[in-house]
Amino acid sequence: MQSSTPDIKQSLWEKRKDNFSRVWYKFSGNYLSIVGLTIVFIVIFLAIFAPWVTPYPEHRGAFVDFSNSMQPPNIEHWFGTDAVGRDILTRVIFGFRFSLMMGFVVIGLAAPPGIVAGLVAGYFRDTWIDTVIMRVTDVFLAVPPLILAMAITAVLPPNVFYAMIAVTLMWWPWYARLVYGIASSLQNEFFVQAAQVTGASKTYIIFREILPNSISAIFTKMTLDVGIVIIIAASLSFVGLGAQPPTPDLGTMVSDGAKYLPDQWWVTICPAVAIVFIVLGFNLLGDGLRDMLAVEEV
Amino acid sequence: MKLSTFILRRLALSIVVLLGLSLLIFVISRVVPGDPVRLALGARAPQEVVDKISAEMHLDKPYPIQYVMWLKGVVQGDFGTSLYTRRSVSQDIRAFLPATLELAIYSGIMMTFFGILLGVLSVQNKNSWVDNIVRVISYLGVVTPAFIFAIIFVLLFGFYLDAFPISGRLSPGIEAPPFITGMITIDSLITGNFRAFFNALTHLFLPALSLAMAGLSQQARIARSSMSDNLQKDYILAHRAYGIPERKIFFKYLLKPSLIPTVSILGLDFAALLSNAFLVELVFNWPGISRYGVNAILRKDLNAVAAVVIILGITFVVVNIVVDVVVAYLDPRIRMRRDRSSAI
Repeated sequence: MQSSTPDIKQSLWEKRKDNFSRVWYKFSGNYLSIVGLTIVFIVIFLAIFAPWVTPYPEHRGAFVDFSNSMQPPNIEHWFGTDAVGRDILTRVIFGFRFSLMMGFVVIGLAAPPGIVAGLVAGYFRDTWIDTVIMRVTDVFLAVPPLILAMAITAVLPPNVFYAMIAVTLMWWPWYARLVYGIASSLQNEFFVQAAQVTGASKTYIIFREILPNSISAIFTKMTLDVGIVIIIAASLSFVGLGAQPPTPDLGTMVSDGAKYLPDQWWVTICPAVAIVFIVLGFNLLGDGLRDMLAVEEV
Repeated sequence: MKLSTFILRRLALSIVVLLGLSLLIFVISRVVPGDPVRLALGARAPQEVVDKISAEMHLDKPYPIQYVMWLKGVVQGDFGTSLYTRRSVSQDIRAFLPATLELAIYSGIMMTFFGILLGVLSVQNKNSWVDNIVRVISYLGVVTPAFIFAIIFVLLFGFYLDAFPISGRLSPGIEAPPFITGMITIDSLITGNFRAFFNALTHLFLPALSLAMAGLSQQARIARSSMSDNLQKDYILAHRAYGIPERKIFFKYLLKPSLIPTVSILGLDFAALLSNAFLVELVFNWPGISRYGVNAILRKDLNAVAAVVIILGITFVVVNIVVDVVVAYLDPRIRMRRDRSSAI
């Protein structure tokens, strides 16, 4: 097992490359997945390079230019300007930063504990460990995440950081539920029994045998969830419990702009379309992954 | 498992879940924020007043005792006094909950009806332009938050077409029916006030539709895929071989088994309805429990927040039990396993 000669390394590398091109072939067969991937790339690119790609980067915060306020979309301001004269396109692109950060941080924090809980409960199926873990997740799943997140933000000061914590606390049970289903069905598979027979430790079996077999479902769910978390974050901001002005946040921009309907429609519709765009990207990508990896559980 | 055993087991589990939820809410609303009375009265209130109100509301006792006392009240329908309005929270809830339930019920009806209708249309005209339009609508429905639908509908149907009212439950000048159930459409029917009934319906249309869009899209997708799966099955082929008319096959033999998956996600969809009601009620100025909840949250009125979350949790749990029982009745295979895939 230890003979890691360059030859074997070489062939492993070849195999991986081969594998990757096969996966890519399957993925690119579905043009909607490509659209999704493109949207996600565009949004991430814009978010990272926001200060350089936006026309008026100084408009991101508390900037005031009343002589330019409420301009409809035109050549200089593609998405128009808002009540205090800020360029909406600029603020939307900076808003992508908050949306993405929210999505990635929440899923990044919520997935690992949920996965571990699900793996452990699934492996020890029908024991007291299973009962305790899964009943706790049932409690969390008994209330819509948005409402519990609101209840949590109620006792904390309203800002982006606490909103992220609130959504994270609500999100792990979904992963526990998903992984539990997979782990408890894998528990009877031959490769798990074989590992048990050879005397592998429980930790080894859970993390090295069962986890790798759940990865594709987990990964698909994470992609889809980024979109859902972005919606929840935007909803919290829309209600006034998320990002606070003058932070450029899409949900806050939509709710501020709603005051100016119907005449200055662009103030609210442009950020709204931006939210749909970003969520659409992650959803198309997630659906593509689900089809490609043949994941049924998510 | 027999159906009665299944229901009993399900009820027992729900009680555990609700107890857990009450503990969670208690921890969130009492333990986390420090002194709620101080929070409500502000930093400049004299200490004696704070102490007096704390004693009145039993907030000076240790947490476990507080929890038991609070839970006792909740079971009897008493959620304590609002720290902000100093009124009984239960009274407020009774005033605001019917509006939300009415909205959610109409929305649920629209969601189920239009969702299944779109699914049927889609399968009947598979791969035609109808099918493609339905697929685009159902995709957009899933990725668009409810409040964006609300705003778009307000703009389109309210301002541009001027077809539907966009605020409140009744137009000014229309006399509201007496408070019987609190749901205006039902109360007005009971009292025979048809003018109020139709007026309330037009007020319900846009908020209910914006709220229904997400679930509607999901229902359409699921109905479409389960029907096109079942269409490939042998029993359909057998019916065709017998020469049974295509229409009858479709509505009598194909639709019923295909609707089981859509019924089984109704519970989750109803949860989504309740949580999205927060957003839609804000846009349409709807005097429901969600708007009450948001105001309670913004004012840190913790008794009210706890009550709203518990009430919504109970509603959600009850709906889920009903859905589970209906599905178990429709499809005996479900009784054997109890895992549903996730949604919002």
